[in-house]
Amino acid sequence: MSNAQQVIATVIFQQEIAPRYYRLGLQSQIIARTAQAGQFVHILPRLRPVNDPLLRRAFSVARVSEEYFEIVYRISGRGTAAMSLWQPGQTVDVLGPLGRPFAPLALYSLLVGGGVGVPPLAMLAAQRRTEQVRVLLGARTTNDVVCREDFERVGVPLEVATEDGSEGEPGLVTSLLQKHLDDAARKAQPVTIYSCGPLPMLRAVAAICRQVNVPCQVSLEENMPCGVGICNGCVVPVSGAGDEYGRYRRICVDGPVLWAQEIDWSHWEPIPCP
Amino acid sequence: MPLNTINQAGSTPEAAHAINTSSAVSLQTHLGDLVLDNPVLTASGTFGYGEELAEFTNISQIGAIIGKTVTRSPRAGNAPPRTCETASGMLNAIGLQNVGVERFIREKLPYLRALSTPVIVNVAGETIEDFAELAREVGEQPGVAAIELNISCPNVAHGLDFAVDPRQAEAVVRAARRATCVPLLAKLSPNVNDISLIARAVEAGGADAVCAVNTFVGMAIDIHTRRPRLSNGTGGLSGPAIKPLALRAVYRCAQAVAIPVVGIGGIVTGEDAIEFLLAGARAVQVGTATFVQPGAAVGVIEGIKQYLRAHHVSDISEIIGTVQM
Repeated sequence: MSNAQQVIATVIFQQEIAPRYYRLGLQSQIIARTAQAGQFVHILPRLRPVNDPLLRRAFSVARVSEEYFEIVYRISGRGTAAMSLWQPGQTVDVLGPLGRPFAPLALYSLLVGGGVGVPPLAMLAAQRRTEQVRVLLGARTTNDVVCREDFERVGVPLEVATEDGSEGEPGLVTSLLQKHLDDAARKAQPVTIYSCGPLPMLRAVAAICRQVNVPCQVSLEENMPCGVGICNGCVVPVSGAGDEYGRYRRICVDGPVLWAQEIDWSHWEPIPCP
Repeated sequence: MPLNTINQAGSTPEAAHAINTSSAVSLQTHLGDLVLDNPVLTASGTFGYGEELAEFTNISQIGAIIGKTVTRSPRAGNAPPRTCETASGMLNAIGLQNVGVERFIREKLPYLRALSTPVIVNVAGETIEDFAELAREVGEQPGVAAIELNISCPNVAHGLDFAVDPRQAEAVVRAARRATCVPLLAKLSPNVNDISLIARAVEAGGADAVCAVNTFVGMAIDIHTRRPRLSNGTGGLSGPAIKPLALRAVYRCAQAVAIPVVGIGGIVTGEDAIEFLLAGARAVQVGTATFVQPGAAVGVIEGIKQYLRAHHVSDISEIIGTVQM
């Protein structure tokens, strides 16, 4: 039995925080108080009660407070375009919190993210107590780096890699990751990776971690018609013991967070629908 | 049982019964020997086996649950991507992922049986013998109110063959009929020239009811990758977009056969359901709407009652098939 609820939440604020990136605050005590890092909410992306866009969209929870929760999203299609027009006071139909959260932070944790994969890592970082946590973010340009203030607020150091070199290390975040893993190996320091972001990044992170046998949690994304485990639409192929059929797991209930080594990366090529 | 949805009315079987009979409106309907408290069923593949939605909606208020298709052997289903949203609808190519009949009977049926809601088991075979064997095995189990024969899934090789050929359709139903005494519902494909021929064929084969319609074959293409959005290439279209097509098919079937017709296709509200009842359906199935609103089926029941009360109709049978053409 999960904590999931269906609620009508009210928009408290919405800000464009970077070109096409929005931060949305929704009032719902019950979701705010039960959501854990890695879980998502399933939102009806409509301006009015109509049948289109038909399906809910899934967004990781980025931050919670006593009364409200926040998501960060990027306009990628019709649903998110409609959402970006919401004003404070708009009522929103939300299902959540859903899915399996990240495992607790390890003594030494590296959070590796990019794009809209960063918000759930921000929420994970906020759960830090005494663990040593570093965040490595990859982005195309400095304008695509989001949630800086969330990491700052919880005192977690941030390193950035940008493809165009406009900030931090020029190139991909995987080179930052490699550097820190080499470092950890030299010191014989166990480390766990938590990663969320574009699929090519996740693949590369998973491959690096597999090579050096470092545990790695990934948060996955796929079109989710129902979000609650009924339709079997959002499956990811797994290697080894999968779900009851041995081949697939549902990202909405068996994930979205999974251990990277469970995933059959060679057969995983989703095409997210706008 | 705590209710987590926002559109609930009545949280116990007693309250559910009250909903079905309050204000002197009777929603009772029958499909052959199968008597249902109300005409709203959950469509196969859209309600799992009941467990996942129990925390969001009151299952005991629903007329009957039709579970995810069961096949003889376990099926892993199609490679992802399996779904894609379209205008007021969605395409799916799940591929009949299921645990297989043995594990279904052992692991899923006990939970379903414990619900106070009638349970209809949807089965799909690759051959006529498969269908007969499934009908026999499932029909023997206690707690199975009826069997829905899925002769019409568009996402599986062979699945469509039975549903497009009247002789094959009749043969499948006849074989299943010989194998079990429980009420048999035949679920038809709309991907045919004349669905009334298939409806008559399954009636001749001994079906107790016709369910119309399964999904329409469709596709979507990603213009950036220039590949289909679904790994399977094509998928089944469902949702509000298909309602006009489904409604017309239901009307055709209801005109063609004497056995009850169950209407399926894009039903979201009670008003949508009323259209199907007026067209001649004795019951309806709610499918894709449940993905959007977990409480959709219950909402449809409420909507039907509101319509009947507003039009001073005391028994749902009074409106069935009364559209004036």
